[in-house]
Amino acid sequence: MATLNLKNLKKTYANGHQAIHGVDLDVREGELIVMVGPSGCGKSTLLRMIAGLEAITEGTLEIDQRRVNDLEPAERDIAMVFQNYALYPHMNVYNNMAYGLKNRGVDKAEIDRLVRQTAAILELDALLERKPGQLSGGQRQRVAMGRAIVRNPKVFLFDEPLSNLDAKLRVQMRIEIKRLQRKLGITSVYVTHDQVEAMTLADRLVVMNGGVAEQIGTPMDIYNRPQTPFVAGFIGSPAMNFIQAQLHEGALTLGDQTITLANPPDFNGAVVVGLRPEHMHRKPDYAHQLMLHIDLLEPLGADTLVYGRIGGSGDELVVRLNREFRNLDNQAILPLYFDCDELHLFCAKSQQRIN
Amino acid sequence: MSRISTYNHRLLPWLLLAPQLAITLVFFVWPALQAVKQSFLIEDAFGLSSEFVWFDNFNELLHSEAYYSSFATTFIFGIGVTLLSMCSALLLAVMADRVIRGAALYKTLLVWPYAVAPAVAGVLWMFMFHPTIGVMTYLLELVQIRWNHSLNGHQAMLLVIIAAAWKQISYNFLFFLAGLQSIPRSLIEAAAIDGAGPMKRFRDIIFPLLSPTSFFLLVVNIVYAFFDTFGIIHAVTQGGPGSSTRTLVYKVFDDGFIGLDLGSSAAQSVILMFIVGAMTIIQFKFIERKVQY
Ligand SMILES: Nc1ncnc2c1ncn2[C@@H]1O[C@H](COP(=O)(O)OP(=O)(O)O)[C@@H](O)[C@H]1O
Ligand SMILES: [Mg+2]
Repeated sequence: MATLNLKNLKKTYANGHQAIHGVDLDVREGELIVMVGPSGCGKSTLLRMIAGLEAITEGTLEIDQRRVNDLEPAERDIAMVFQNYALYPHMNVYNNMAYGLKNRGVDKAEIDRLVRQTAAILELDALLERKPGQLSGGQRQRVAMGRAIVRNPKVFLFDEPLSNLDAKLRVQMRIEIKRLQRKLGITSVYVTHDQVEAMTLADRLVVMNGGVAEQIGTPMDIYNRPQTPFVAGFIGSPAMNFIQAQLHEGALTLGDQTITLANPPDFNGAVVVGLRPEHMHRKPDYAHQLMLHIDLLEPLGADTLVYGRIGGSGDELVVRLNREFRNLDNQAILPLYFDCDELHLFCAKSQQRIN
Repeated sequence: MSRISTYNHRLLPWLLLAPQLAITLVFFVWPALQAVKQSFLIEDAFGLSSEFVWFDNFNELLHSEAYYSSFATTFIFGIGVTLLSMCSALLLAVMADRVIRGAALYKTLLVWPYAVAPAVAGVLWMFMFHPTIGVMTYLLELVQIRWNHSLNGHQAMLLVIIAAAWKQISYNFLFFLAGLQSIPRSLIEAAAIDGAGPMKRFRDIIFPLLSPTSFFLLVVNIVYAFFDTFGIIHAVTQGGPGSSTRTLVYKVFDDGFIGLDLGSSAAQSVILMFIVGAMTIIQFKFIERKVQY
């Protein structure tokens, strides 16, 4: 078990492109950190800096309180699972897992014991003689995991390890990874662009955007109190609705309706209001009401998504309703109820949370 | 229901094949048959009469000291050229793979020698190592090495090996570079994380993954060295001094056009045809199996 500390890490590539603009992060022993963000936001870059595959331009990286900026990947005692698995195609499963141990001079009998023990954990016993080309995607994934685990490293790094699997297998492997990480208790950093994967796996989430860590916190923290509209829109599915509005003396004007907030923030001016699709309801058990002009229905089975607009505002809204809502009578305007505690208010200028 | 289309024209397919067939027949099959026919004949010194002698020409070759020595020369030459050109090309390709700035220029320059005609390449090297006016000869003189490939058989062999290998490096380089670039970077990175240094990575990962390329090049280079280096040898040493650089192909020319022993020359050609055939079969067999890894 080890700690991992990132102190103001920055990365500028040789072509002058600055990919990471200063990231601070303290990872506790045994913690599973998930970095999530859209493609190109610098997740892989940051992970590869931790691995030692990219040079660190500025800042300090510590593993177990020891500065490792200038150490080779092998000397950092980390293991990495790559997106394409990067299994050695000419070696069988056994040798793929044994290679790292051999290079570290572990004796043969010990290698054999470790490889077989790891193979048993991952149910790879029967596949040890096979070459990667003779394995299915899920099996390759497990071999890649095995190769990482067998060395018992200080830190695990995962770069989108599930993105090459089909949807069903992805869910299965996600659960397996989480179980394994808990069991082994190895400090881990996991990179993904999939917010469901991020929410379900993470002890803490790092939401990245344009080379900056926009918010760091537990998944529920981030879901409940996103600090910026970007984070709010990225976490949660379907994405949060945003409505341009005016806040004046605790009165919020949304299109042609005005509601009075129960706990108004000390702010006057243009705001962006965030409201999650699952926080608008048909039952009038909530303090506030808005009128939705329905455009389109999307039945998903368990739920139905309703698309529409509120009067006097151009902002498109999506609402997640129970499947019982079928709109058989072709209603054009639907009254919806919500709680003003569920509103997320962001300053339109600074893009920061204000409530 | 049959899915094979039927043509009403019986002639059309033949017509479409005709140009290719004509070229093959006139330029490949006919000369080859001529060589086979010639190999069974003995002509008198003036070319006025010829006599059918069955396998006498072959028999004579198999009992000829000079023929075996030419075989040995060819092997030494072939192995030398193949090793030298493949090793240098691999080294250059590994370095080119790392170059970031000016990579295109570097690669272009490395490919140029391939465009040089064999005879011209031979003349180039011959002049550089010329016993009296060569630049390299002068430089070697400075470190107390006397270079005279027109007297020293070993030096002559070394020179034709270098000249022939030099011309082939470009070709090998291109294939090795393509091979290197098709190895996913993440494999190398995974090996680095697994604690393998640069040399170990090359030995354990890169080299094994290049083995299909290497095998292909091995056959191509041997075929090149055996059969395609006449021009270079002719320009540099004419098979000399003595017979120290007289490879099988050069001996065919020597015996046929200088010695005017057409029967023996033809018999040697037939033997060479068999060797090329065998090598081609080996190569196809291996390519089919894709060189396992
Ligand atoms: N070797 C490189 N040289 C220059 N720019 C790069 C290099 N690798 C990545 N980038 C750029 O850095 C940014 C972040 O890339 P990356 O970390 O791969 O994103 P992500 O993994 O989040 O999709 C991208 O804009 C990408 O184009
Ligand atoms: Mg990435």
